[in-house]
Amino acid sequence: MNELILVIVALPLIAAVLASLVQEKSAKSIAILGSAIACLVSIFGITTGGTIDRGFHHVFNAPWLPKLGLMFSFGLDGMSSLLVLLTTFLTVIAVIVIPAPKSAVRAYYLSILVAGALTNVAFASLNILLFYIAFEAALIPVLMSIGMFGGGDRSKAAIQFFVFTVIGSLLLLSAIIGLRIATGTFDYLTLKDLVAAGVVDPSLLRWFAIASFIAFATKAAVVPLHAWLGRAYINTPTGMLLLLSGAMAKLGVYGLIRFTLPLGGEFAESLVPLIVTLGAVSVIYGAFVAAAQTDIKAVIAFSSISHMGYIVIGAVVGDDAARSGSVLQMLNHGITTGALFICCDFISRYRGSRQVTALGGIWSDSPLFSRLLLLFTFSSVALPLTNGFVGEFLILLGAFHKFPYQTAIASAGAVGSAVYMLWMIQRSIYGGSKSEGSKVISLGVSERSVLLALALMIIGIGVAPSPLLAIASDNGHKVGAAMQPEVK
Amino acid sequence: MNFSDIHAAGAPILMAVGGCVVLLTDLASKRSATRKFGTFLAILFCVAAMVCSYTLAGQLRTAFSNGIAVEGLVVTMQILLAAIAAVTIVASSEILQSFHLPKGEYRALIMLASAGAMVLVQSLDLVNAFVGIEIMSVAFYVLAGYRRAQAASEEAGAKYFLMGAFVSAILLFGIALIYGSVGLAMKANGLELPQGYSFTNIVTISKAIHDVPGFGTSPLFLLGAVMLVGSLMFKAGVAPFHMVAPDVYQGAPAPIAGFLATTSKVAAFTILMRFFTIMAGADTGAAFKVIVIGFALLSIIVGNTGAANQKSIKRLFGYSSVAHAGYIVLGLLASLGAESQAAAITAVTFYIVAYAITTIGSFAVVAWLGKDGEDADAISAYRGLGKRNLGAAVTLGIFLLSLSGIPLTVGFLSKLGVFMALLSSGGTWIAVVALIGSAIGLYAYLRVISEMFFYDSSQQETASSDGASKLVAVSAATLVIVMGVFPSQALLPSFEASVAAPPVSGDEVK
Repeated sequence: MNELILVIVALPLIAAVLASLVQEKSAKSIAILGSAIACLVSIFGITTGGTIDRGFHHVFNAPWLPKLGLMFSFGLDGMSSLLVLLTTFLTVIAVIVIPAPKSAVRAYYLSILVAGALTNVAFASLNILLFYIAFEAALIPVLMSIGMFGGGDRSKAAIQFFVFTVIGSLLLLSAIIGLRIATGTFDYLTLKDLVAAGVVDPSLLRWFAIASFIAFATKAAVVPLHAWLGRAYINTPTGMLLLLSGAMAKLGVYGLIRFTLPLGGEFAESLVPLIVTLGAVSVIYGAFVAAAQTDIKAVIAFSSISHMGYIVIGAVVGDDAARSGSVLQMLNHGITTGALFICCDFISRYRGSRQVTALGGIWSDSPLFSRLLLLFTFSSVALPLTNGFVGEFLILLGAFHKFPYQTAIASAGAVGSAVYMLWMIQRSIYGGSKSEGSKVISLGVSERSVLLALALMIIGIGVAPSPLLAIASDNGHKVGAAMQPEVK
Repeated sequence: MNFSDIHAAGAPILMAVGGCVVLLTDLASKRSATRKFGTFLAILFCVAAMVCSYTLAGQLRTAFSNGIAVEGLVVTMQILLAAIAAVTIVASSEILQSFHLPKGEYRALIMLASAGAMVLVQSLDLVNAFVGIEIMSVAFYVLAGYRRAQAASEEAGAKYFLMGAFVSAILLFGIALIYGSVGLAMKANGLELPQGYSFTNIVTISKAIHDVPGFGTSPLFLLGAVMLVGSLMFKAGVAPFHMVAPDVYQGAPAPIAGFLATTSKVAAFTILMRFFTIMAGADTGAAFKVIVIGFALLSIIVGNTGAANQKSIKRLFGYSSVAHAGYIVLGLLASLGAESQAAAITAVTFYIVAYAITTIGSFAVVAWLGKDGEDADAISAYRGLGKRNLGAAVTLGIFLLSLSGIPLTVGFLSKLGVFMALLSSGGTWIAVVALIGSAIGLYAYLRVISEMFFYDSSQQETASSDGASKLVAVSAATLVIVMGVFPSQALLPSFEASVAAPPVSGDEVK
C-alpha cells in the first residue's frame, strides 16, 4: 500500500485530463468521481500502514531526477495525512456544490483538480525539492482560475497573488539549494537527522530559517506578509477558494512545523517569539479589518487572517498540546471557512449581492440554510461544542505559559471575532429583505447534503475531538525529537 | 590537412557548402520551383551537418594544427545550431512568401551564419574564433535588415552593423593584446611555445596563465581578456551592451529574430565557456571576477525591468533575452570556481539549450499569430487570445512560464542548475539579487498571460495560416514540458558527454 499517495494524486489528475477531453456536460461527473474516490482512498492514509520510516508510514520512494537529488519520496504522518484528507475532501465538495462558470467548464474543473493534486504532493512529499516544485506549481492553476473565473478585479488579484507568493518561494528555493550543497541531499528525513546531529553549517541554517519563514508566512498570510490575501480571496471563484484558503494556505503552517523549525536549527528557535508576536498581531489585525467590511466574502476572507494567526501561534510555540491543537485547527478552519464561503456563494448567487446592506430576510425565507449558516458562524467564533472551540482552546492553553502577553492579546481576538461575525450575520440574515424582488435561497439535494455533512463534522469534532487529536499529535515533533536523531 | 581534419570541421564545412549550393540552385532554377526544393536542400545539409557532428561524439580531437577542437560540448552545440538553422528555414517560408523577399539568399545567409557559429564553437585558436564570429556576424547584419522595405528592419540592420563592426575591432584588439602578453611572458620566463600551438591558442594561454607567476594579473593580459570577454558579451547581448538587442528583435521578422537571439548566444557563450575554463582556478585578481559579476547582475536587472512595461512582445522577448544572458553569465561565473566547474558547465549548457528552444518557440508563436506575414507584435493584440485561439495561447503561456522559471518547465530546471552551481561556488548575495530580478521578470511575463487569458476580446478570430510556425511552436512547447519533467530522457546524456570530456586544458600539451 505504499503507492497510496500516488493513487490519491493520480486519480484527480486522470479525472482532470478526462474532464478536459469529454463534453462539457460530462465534465462535472468525471471530476466528482475522480475526486470522490481520491477522498475515500485518502481515509486509508490516516491509518498506519505500509513501510514505516522514522515516524512516517506509507513511505514510497522512486527516482525522478536522481542526478539533481530529486526523488518521488512520499510518506505520511498524522499531520500530513489529515491535511491530505482535508485537501481531497475540499476538492470533492468544491466540484459538487459550486457550479462551474459557463464560459469554460472544462478548464474550471481542470484547474481545481490539478491544484488539489499538487497540494497533496506537497503535503505528502519527503523530498524537499519535490515539495518545492509542488508548492510552486500548484500556484499556476490558482493563477489561471482567479484570472479566468474570478471577480471584477481578477487580473490584478491574480498577478498580485502570484508575484507575492513566488517571491517568497524563490527565497525558499535558494535556501533549499544551500542545504543541498551543504549536505548533498534533498531528502527530508536525512536532512532532519543531519541538522539534529549538528553537522550542518549554522549560517546556512540561519538563512534557511529566515527564507523559509518568509515563504511560509506569505503563504499563511501572516501580517505583514498578508497583503496579497484580501484582493485574492475576494476575487477567487468559490470552488478554488475552498482549496486556496482551506488547503493551500495550510501549506504555510505545515511548512513551519515540518521544515522551518526542525531544519532551521537554533536560529529558528530564536525566531519563535517574533513569529508568535506576528501571529498575535495577525489575530487582532484580521479581526479589525474584517469588522470594517460590508462584503460578506471580504469579512470571511479577513477573518481568515485572524484564524491563521492562532494556527501559526500554536504551530511554533513549542508545546505539544498547542501544536496538536494547531494541526486540528487547520482541519477545522478548512471545514468551517469552506462552509462559510459556500454559504456566501449561495447568497450572492440567489440574492445577487454580497453586501450586508443589500441583504436581510434570509432567516425567514430560507430557514434551513440560515440555521446552518449560523452554526458555521458559531464554529468560526469558536463556541464550545463546535470544532473551532477545541482547536483554539488547545492553542491558547498551550501557548499561555510560554508567551502570556501574546496569548492574552490573541485571546482578545476571539472576542473580536464574535463581534464581527455575529454583526455580519445579524445584518445579512435577520430583518426584512433590503432589496426588492430577491430570490429565495433553495438548496438542492446535493447542496443540502454537503452543508449538512459539514455541520455534522463541525459538531462531531466539537463533541468528540480525541480521535482526531490523537492523529494530529503525530506531527514529527515528539518531545525531545529536535535534540537527538531518532533511531530507525 | 587530411581527412581527419576535414571530418573534425565537417559540420561548418557542410553548412557553408550547403549555403553555396542553395544559393546557386536558386540562381539556376525558376522561381516557382525553388520554394520547396530549396527548403528541402537546405534541411538536407543541416541534417548532414548534425549527423557529421554526431559521429564525433564521445571523443576529444584537435585538427587543423590544433586550430580547432571537438568534444562533447562542441557536438551538442553544433547539433543545436544546425537544428536552429533548419527550424528557422522551415518557419520563415511564410514571411518570405508574403513580403516577396528573395528566398535563396535568405536560406544561404542562415546557413552561412550557422557555419560561422559552428566555427566559433569549435575553435581552439582565438584567430579561428575571430574568423567564425565575422562569418556569423556579417550574415547577421544582412538578416537583421532583411525586410528592406520596412524602416524598422533597415534601422535594426544598420544599428546592428555599426555596433557589431566596432565590437569586432575591439575583439581583434583584445586578441592582439593577449597574443602580445602571452608571447612576452613566455619569453621572459624562458618557456617554450608548446609544439604545434600558436600564441593565440587557448592551450598556450592556459599554459601561460597557470605556469607563469603573476601572468593572470598582468595589466596587458587582463586588458586583452576584458576586451575579448566584453566583445563576446556584446555578441551574446549582455548588458550594458544590450541596447541593440531589443531594436533588432523588434525590427526583424519574428523567425529571424528568434534565429539571431539564439544562434548568437549559443556561439558566443560556448567560446566564453572555453575561455572561462582556462581561467578557472587561476589567479586573475579580483577585477576580472567583479567585471563578470557586473555583466551578470546588470543584465538580469536591466533585462527584467526593461521587459516589465513593454507594449511590443518582440521587445519584451528582446529584454528577456538580455536577462537570460545574465543568468548564463552567472553560470559562467560559477565555472571560474575549481570545485563548481563541472556542475557549472553542465548547467550553462543546459541553460543555453533550454533558452534556445523556448525562444525559438516564442518567436514562432508571434509569427504564427501574425497576419499576412506581419508579426502579432503588440501585446494588446493578445487580449482574449485564450478565447479566440486556445492552442496558441496555451503554447505561448508555456513559453512564458518557462521563461519565468516556474517548475515543470525546462526554464525551472535550467535556473535551478545555474543557481546550484552559483551557490556552491559561494555567491549567495549574487543569487539573491538574481532572484529579485526573476521576480520582476515574472511580472513582465504574467502581464502577457493576463492579457491572453484574463480578458475578453473584442477582436475577431485571427485566421492563422502559418502552418510551419505553428508546427515549430507546438513542438517547441512539447519539448519545454518534456525536458522540464524528464530532462534525462531527452537531452541529459549529451551534457554528460560534455562534462566527461572537459575542454582542453594545459595538461594535454605535456
